[in-house]
Amino acid sequence: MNPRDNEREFGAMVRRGLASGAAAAESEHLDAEVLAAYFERTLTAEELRACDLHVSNCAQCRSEMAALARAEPEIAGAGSRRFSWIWDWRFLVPVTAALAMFVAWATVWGPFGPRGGRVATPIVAQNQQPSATSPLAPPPVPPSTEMVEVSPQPPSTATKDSKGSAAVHGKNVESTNAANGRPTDEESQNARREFKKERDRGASDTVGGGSGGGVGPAEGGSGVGGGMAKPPQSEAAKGAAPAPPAPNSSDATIAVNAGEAEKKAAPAAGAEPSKPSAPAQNPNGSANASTQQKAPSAHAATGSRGAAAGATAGVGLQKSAPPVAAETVTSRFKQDESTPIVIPTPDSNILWRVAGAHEIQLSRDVGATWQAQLTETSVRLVTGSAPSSKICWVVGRQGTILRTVDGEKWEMVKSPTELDITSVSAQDADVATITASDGKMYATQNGGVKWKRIKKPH
Amino acid sequence: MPTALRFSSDLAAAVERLFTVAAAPADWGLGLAAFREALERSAASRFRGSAGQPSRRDIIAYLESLNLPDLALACACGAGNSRAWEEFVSRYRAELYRAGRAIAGESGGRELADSLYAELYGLESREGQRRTLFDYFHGRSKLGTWLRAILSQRYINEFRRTRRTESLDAPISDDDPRPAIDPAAPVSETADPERRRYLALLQAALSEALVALEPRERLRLAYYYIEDLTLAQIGRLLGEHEATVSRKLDRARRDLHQQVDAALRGKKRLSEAQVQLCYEYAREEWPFDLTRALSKKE
Repeated sequence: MNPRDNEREFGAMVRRGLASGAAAAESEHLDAEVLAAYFERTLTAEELRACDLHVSNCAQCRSEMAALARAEPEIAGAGSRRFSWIWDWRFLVPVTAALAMFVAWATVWGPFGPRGGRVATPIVAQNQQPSATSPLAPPPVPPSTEMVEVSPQPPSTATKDSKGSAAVHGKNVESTNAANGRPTDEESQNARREFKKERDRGASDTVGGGSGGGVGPAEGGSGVGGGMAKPPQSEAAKGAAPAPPAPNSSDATIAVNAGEAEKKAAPAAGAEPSKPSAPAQNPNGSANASTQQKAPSAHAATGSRGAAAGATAGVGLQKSAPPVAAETVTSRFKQDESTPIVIPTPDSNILWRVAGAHEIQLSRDVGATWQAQLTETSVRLVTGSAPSSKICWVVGRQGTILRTVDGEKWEMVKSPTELDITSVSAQDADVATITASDGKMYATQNGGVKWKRIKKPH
Repeated sequence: MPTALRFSSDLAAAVERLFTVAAAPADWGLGLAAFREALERSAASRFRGSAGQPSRRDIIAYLESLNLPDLALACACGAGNSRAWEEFVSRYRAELYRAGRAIAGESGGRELADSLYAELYGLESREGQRRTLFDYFHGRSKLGTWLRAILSQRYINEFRRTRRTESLDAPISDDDPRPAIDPAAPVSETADPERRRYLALLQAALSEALVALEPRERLRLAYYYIEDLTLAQIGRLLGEHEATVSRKLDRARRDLHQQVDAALRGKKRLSEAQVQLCYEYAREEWPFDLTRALSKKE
């Protein structure tokens, strides 16, 4: 029996039940005046309630109302008798889930992801200056530009200066938003210098290593394979209007576009004398990647949106641009273990990092000082994701998943795979998604108690 | 003619203002006194049965909520003004026929509407005074809606009157070919002796669940299952969107199922197997598959 028959038969039951109980209250019926006003809903609330009560118990008045509804010119014969699935908004749940999975696929493996074209994805340096209206809006990216590694940042106002972020081949050196409470500008400078050194090391180690494949610590859980990088802003520029694009004066590093590297990347100017600057070159066209890295600059106020933003591009330094093949997972593990992997948090002051690939450290002062939390792990740690200042997930080889939910104590999380884990994106202490070296993605909704395989749409 | 509530003199200014708002054409011959009487009848109808005398503010608020132009037209037509009647016919004739057909079908719709015309025009007279249906229009709704309401009442009254002459054993509809279960009816020797009891328990549980519903919930279900209205029509009657009607109907059906289930298991203390027997017997004897209709998988 199909659902329609089922519904009809159930209606017969309800009809009998209602009809058998409606004969009691037929003493006085509504007159035409009240009936018409009741139909037009122009009665007072009290009268409407009284009419509802009467009509619900009076078969004759109910039938008269039904006849009146049929005679209504606007709705005569209109509408459906069926319970329409379209009115049941629960159908949006699987639709939304499917859409989210498609976006994830498109970002990681699809045409917008680093593996989409099976071609080395060039990195385009970007420096974002968030606008006041959409502080988290992604930078304008030309169609040919593929975002490889993007890291979201906390919202910030447009009047603040950018501070710096970097995402280089599976490692993120993500600058954080200059929030209130930062100690001083001098300390910020020191912190950024520390960042710069770390980034330089990371860049030199990983140049040509292909795109990162999404290990960006993702605020809001968008770290797998991509997300939005948003430059931090310095306290020094508070209240100042965004400055015009200043090559090498901002510090966000990102990205990649082989085909458009030349036109996107502006020559770096010497805000930081210690950093070389060179225009982006890409002799091999779209098949090659050019990694552009830009060191943080302490007080430069830039309004650039990065190289992809064209006129507003604040361009970083081009480190090197050797042609590379498509990214392989193992390339990430060949990186120098001395290169720290910095994991930003929504709190601009708090950072985690994987130092020496075997030690997790915490900084509460924008990277000025680091406190060892978990030392001498047996396996190599690769990357992490910190959805809050207290919660951080770190993954590594041999299916290693570590997590802290209080910002202090780390625990081992049950892993769905024994293979190396290449990326993690966490939304909170319970919800996270990981990617194994074989490309399989797993998601948990309960802190790793159970993992569910996410199939890649094809 | 309905009794009127005599307005005090301090309402004279308000009545004059409302008369201006009504904007009755001069050739309708509607005077202020006649309009005032119409307002007084309307107020008497509204405040009839209310405790105490309505305040001046309440009366004015009520009068201002009326459809004054329609009330003026009804007054003029009731007074027999030919120009007003022409206006009424030109404005509502087609609408009345259309509504009649919508209510009574193509065959009876025109007859239904024509019967109304006679009473509207006022063929009857009592004590030398012409009686017209327009005297009962008080402006609480649009004149067109009121006319359709009268058509609906006429049709339903006639329908119910003719139905009373039919046998009570006659089926309610084609969809419902068999009469309801009579728990006292004899059962065959081969049947389960508990069969009637189970069916009676199921009926009782369902009736209790329906009675316990909120009036609007019960009304919504009745509009859908008894009156066979569309979701849009139900939404029009209840002041809800079609989507809301659909969701609430679906929820009411699920709630009914749960309550029937809970009543059978809780109050009636039936086991799971006995509950299933209730559904099975109902499916066999009632013209619907109760087991499926109330199944948890629904």
